[in-house]
Amino acid sequence: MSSSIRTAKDASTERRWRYCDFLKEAGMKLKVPQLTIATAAVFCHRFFELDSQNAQQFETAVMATACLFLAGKVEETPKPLNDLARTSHLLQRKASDPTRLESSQQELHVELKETILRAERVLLHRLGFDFNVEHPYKHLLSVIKRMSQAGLIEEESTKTLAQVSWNFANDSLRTSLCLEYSANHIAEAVVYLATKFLSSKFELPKKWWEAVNVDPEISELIGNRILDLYEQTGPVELGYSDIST
Amino acid sequence: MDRYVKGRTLGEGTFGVVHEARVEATGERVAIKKIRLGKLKEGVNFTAIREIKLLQEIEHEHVIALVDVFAHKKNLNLVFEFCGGDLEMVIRDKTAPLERGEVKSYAMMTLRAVAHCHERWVLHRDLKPNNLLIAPNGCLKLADFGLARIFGSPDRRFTHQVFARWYRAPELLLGSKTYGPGVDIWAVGCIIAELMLRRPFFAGSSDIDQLGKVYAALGTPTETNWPGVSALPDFIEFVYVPPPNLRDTFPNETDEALDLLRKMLEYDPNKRITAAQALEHPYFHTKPAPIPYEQLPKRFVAKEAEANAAAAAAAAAAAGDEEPASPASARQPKTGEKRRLEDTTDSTDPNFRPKLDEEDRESLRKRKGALDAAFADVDGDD
Repeated sequence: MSSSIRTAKDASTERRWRYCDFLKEAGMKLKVPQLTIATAAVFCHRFFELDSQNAQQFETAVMATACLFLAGKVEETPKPLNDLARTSHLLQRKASDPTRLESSQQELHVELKETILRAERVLLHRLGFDFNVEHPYKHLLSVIKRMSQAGLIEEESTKTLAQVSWNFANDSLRTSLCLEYSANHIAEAVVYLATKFLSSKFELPKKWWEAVNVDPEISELIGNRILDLYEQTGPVELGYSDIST
Repeated sequence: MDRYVKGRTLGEGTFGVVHEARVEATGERVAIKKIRLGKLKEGVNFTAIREIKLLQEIEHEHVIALVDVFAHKKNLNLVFEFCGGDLEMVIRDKTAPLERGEVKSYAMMTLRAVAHCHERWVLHRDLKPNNLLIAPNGCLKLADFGLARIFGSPDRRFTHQVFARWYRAPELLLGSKTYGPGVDIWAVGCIIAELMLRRPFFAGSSDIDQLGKVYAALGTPTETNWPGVSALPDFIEFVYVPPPNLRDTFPNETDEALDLLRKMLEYDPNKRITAAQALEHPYFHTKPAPIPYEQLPKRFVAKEAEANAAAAAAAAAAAGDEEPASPASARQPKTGEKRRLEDTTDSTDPNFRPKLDEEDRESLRKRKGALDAAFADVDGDD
């Protein structure tokens, strides 16, 4: 999916897409909740963007696996290292290097597990043991609730609006926005973006954002960054998108 | 590691040793909990991750502050603000009676910490006197979040093997896996009763004995006062005992005090008082008022001084990064952040009660079992 037509991307964007694709696939295979995938993505951003010098030390997929491993513990949805290593191996094999295949599965598996453990420690160190991640999800629901309370939208429209906002929030994980803006600002922006996207479905009063304390300027800025994603490819999605998961 | 000068051992816990230390640059006293990483097949210790994460989220006057985390060699080090003592030392200090205002003050600080945790959707799950630390200025600090969990997903099943047995709520003893903040409240109720009695209120020697002790003091629970009790997984029929008068056990306490105890030790977790409600209870708003913590009698100052002398000797002996003498071989008084029950086996503490020893050890064994179960709980998630 990600190999479709994309405009030129710099190396770091390229890598971001790679690990986001990887996290999405691995997360789905391992039946990890979306929240854990999102946390893993933020860990990856923090690791790769904030320390590009040391980023070379591990293969992208290995570090992404370590991020998913740690995110599982942090979000109380741990997965056994064995399963993670197996899934990671499978996905990496699919992605490249068919020559390594079959050489010695067991040996590779043990080696990979050890590398993941090493990566986890390096990751913890780079994160400065700060693994509290705030996501826009709960904030976006509260923005929509405020809109509903202010009488801006009908009850039946809230679900559609929440779903579309939720999808934009998922997609925003492919940007480094979470390193630059607060979860609350991103939440406001994805709802703002969703209202534009759904403008044919329901009408909002002019300057509706004033009633619910949403900052339109920051929302525009963040919204445009998310929209840039769709210039680079067709529909993207990190994680499965259903709001109920 | 270079930033800290290591001092005496404060205690040894299930996960590693706790040392006193000083920040080299400022001289500030801290306590460092060292967690061995070793060869862990599931990577960095889940318990440590939980503790770090929750402590970063929970910032409160009465919750221990995590000031730094760093990895050194094969260890993970958690640096905490230094506390000289804990509530267990206060309870055991028989040199002077605990005044009502003093008990109230400790009860209030504990409830404030617990209320804050519950507000942030965190269950502590290991409340007991030696996890309630006391800073040199008298301020109480809730510590050890290794068993703590986020709650709030109603369908989420938890292990019931939490808390030291004496502080375990009846729903846990009966095997409930879908409990809530009430389990912490029960434990605080036990702790307040212990402050009043100067001995554990329910000192059971096994899970069955624990239930027996609770039933003897509060009467057997029935479907009337606790709907659904007989459907709990480990429910066992006990001979019916009517609720005795609490007044007989606490002859000197006020009516307000007994009323609060009854509400905290309510059988039905749904009817049990919340931490926020308990803080509003008349007990805290009738005379004598809770003593401000700065004015609380310092009940472990003498031992502190003794310990400092011992620490100086130990530090001199163990220059550099070497391990100071272990608590078992050095005759150090057991003051400190992570004083564990097992340390009392060779205690030189004058208040040491041999009778408690076997029970303590049993309780510790249970705790270890609980932790194993907790890991099984989280590891075997899928």
